[in-house]
Amino acid sequence: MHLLRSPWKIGLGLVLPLIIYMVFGIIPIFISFYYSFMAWDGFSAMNFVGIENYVTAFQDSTFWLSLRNNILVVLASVLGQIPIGLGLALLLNRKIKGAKFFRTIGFLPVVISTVVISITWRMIYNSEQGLLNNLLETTGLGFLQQNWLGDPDSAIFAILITIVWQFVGLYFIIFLSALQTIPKELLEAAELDGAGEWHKIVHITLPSIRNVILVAIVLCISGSLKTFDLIYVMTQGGPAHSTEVMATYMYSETFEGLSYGYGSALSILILVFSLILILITTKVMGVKRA
Amino acid sequence: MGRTWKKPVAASLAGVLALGGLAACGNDSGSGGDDDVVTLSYWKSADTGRPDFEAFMEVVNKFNDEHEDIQLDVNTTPNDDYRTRLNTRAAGGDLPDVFQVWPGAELRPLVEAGAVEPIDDIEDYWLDSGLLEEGSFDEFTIEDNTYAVPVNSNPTHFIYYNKDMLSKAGYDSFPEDYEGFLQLIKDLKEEDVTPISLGNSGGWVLQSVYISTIADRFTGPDFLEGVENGDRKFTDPEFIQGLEVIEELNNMEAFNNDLNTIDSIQMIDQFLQEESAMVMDGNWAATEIIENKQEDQDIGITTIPLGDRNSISNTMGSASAINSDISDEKKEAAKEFLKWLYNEELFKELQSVGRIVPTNVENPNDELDPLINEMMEITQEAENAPVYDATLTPSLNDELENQLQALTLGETTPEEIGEALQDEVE
Repeated sequence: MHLLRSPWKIGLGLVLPLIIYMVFGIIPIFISFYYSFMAWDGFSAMNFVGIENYVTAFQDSTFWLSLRNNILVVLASVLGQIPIGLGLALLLNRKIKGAKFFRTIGFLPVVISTVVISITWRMIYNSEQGLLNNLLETTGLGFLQQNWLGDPDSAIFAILITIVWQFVGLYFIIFLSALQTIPKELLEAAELDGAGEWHKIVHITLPSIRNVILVAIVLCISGSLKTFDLIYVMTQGGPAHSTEVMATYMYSETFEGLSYGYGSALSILILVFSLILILITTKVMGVKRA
Repeated sequence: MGRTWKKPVAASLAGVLALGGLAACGNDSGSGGDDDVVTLSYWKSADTGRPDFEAFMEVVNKFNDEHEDIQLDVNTTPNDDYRTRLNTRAAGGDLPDVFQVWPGAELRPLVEAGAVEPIDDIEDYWLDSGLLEEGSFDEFTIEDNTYAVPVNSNPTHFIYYNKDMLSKAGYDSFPEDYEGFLQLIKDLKEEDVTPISLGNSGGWVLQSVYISTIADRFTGPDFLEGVENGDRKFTDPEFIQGLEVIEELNNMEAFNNDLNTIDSIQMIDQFLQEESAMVMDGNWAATEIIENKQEDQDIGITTIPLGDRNSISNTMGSASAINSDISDEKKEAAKEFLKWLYNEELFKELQSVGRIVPTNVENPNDELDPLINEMMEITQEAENAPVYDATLTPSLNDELENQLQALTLGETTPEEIGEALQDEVE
């Protein structure tokens, strides 16, 4: 209470985080913006090339492919993680045997390091020794076998499944805790009025946690735009760029291809694209400013 | 294990102290007393567990025991990430004092940015003692200055083959011409054996091990230089022919079908587990094969029988260079370190685990594995061809590696690759 009476103290406390945030978060964006007009290999003198890097990016089929893949990741996350997470939460928000066990299992992938997940799934998907193909073989479904990560048509979808699997648990836990805040009286009253399970879910449960769902969707979109580590470890964007997302493409152009200027232009495009997407989502979902 | 964390901790402590020192005295670069110990940071790429890397590090680590006035602070990074890390630090103007470099296209931008110290003044040390020849420094010489000392030559193409598996398919010796090689692949397939293991998930195997030698058999060794000064093009039929060899091998399913998802270590594992009869890899694979093969496995070595010339893509390796932006005192210490390190013991150690060194050190032949002896003979008889990634710019090399992956997926054709690369050049 003392603190609240002297706002300048709060301000003082915020100075340090603000400086850190400026130095590591905001200023680099402007530096990148500056680099994006340069041709630069990282060591030699920079050459100003105007908007050439942006023109190149728009003509670069790999860039568009990585953008498409990024959109796929966003869609798979929003349409996969959220409904599955919600479904699981509804299922386990009651007294069932082993509910705790299932909760733990569901949340487990979230706490496992992404690198471990990537390597494990890479083994599962391996076309010759992998678990998945062997399982298909032994269950007589051999005709469904694929070279999951080696075939450019299936590779990105194999990765999407892994991404959904990895984060379902997170939304499941968020929804579960939201569900537990719904007053029992409401549900009991509905039951007295003769509402079935389905009616209760649609008319009481979901509207009560509407805001939590919206927040989860925003989290989900911004999380998927940052996708990098999982793909980097699983396929490095390959084979032949087929699983490249914008962040991995930016990384390989900048740090492996030593095109710091072009890489900076790509990172600015990522920023622009993310802002547009966030803007659209907030508009569509009508998230209001507090 | 206990030792591994101490170094980083010591290094960061040293860093903190150095910062403190700087803040305190401003113009003096942190040396409290006059006869203080000079600390040198040294970066090396790591192939942990590989006998040649372990041998190299063993010699490096001896340095501190023998030098009281120079303290070496060694920092290793896994091979695949090393160049990225080094280049990123270089871009930040923050290179270590001494660091491993690769020749040609990797070294050039660092030199042009003025980040590397010439070592012409100590070159004679190796020439006079006969440890290295003038030619050993060629790839590290840019515009008349020499910048690094190499310790081994690094042929990037051999075929290792399992003699028993070949003889089961009816071959007592390796085919002598390309037609015979293709027939061997067909016969192995009949036996239900994967002919060649390939692990190209990192993209570099098809580039460094395959195309560098295969294309050279058609184009000749001056091709890449010709492309650089505009005399020749990636669309030339000779280069396309080289790509067609890879397309042909891929089309006849000479490779394991997970070639794009496994890496170069897994491809050697497949070969050693006899899931395949051959594997193409550089000389570095020999050490791994000797170390890990089953006792009764009889492994042969050769190069691809293709074209009239017997060339092997080759480059110099494990070279170290000095940062140009350090104090004279440190430069002196760094030169002393290079002289001490690149010496008979290191050459001997590396040769004994199967690396090819560009000098005649006395390692009695019967102490070497026959595979190594054979590899050295093959290398001596072969013409040298340039390795693509040691010659092309990183972005062009990146493009080539991705295009080669696309070729194995049937997404592009040799002609289209030629055009895409030529576009990138222009």
